[in-house]
Amino acid sequence: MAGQSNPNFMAGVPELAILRLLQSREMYGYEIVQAIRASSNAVITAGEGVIYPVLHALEKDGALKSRRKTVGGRARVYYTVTPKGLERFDGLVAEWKRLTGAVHTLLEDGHVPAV
Amino acid sequence: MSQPFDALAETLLREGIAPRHVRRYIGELGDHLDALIEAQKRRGYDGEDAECRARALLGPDDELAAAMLAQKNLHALAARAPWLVFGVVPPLLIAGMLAGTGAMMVALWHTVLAGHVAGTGWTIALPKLWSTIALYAVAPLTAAFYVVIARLYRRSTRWLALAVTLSAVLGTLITFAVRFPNAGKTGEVAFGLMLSSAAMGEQLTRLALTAVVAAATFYAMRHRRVV
Repeated sequence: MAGQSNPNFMAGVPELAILRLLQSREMYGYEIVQAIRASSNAVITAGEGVIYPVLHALEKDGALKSRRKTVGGRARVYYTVTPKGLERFDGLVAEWKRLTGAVHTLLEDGHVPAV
Repeated sequence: MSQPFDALAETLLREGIAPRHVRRYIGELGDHLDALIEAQKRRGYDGEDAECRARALLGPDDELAAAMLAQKNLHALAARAPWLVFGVVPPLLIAGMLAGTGAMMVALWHTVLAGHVAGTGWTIALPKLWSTIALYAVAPLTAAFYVVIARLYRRSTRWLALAVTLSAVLGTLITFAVRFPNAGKTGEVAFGLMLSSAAMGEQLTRLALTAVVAAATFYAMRHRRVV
């Protein structure tokens, strides 16, 4: 599975990962992608560039804020999470746990209720 | 010279993503690609090989475009509600500019001019000159603005034609006059709409001016790379 892109099951995952990673420190896009790759053992993969629309949309919603910083002569956009982003993260985690709990139950029990 | 993400930028603009988000996306993708190329070089790949591997890691154009298009809050208002931007705003813009000019003249009269030009020929000449300039300038400026907006946001010619037509018609029919207080009479700022045979020459001149400015701006923008 590692290294394969699985977009249908990945919906919402980049958002969750971004909001989690940015709680520790501010990062720019390339750093975020590498951190997601490293912390998920490369299970969460997609074209690396697709992270930016998620970052822009989160910023537009007020979940992130950005600032330009010049490092080594190169201007980079650094992102940090806002209090609104933290709230959104908590909601996403709760939803994710509910979903994974349901899938876990389904796989473990294999119980098919009578309809 | 063609840039690596020109085609992607064009797709995003045509699909309605706001130009500022496209510019930023393309800039960040460029930086990301540079970082990936450097990383590939550190791994021992060189030249074209490193660039090809980096480009593959970044993702194909259709995947990069789809990711952006999926974010509905990054779509421009000109794409979501073109009828509002090109159909409703132009008359408001023209009325607003004239109202602003009128307010500016009133403020200037009360703060600076009253003590200097009251009772002189300037009391009549200055507001007349000013309102004539405003009357001739608002519609061409609005039309030119919409040519730029339509090009920047890649909106269709029919939306542009609507905005330019509205600007031209309103710019032709609108009347605007400012009078400073003079000889015991109070000052006034007057707006209206009028089609007058007496003012036909003046109105046709304004119509032609708007058409010429819009056409010249359109021609100037036609082959310009605008993102």
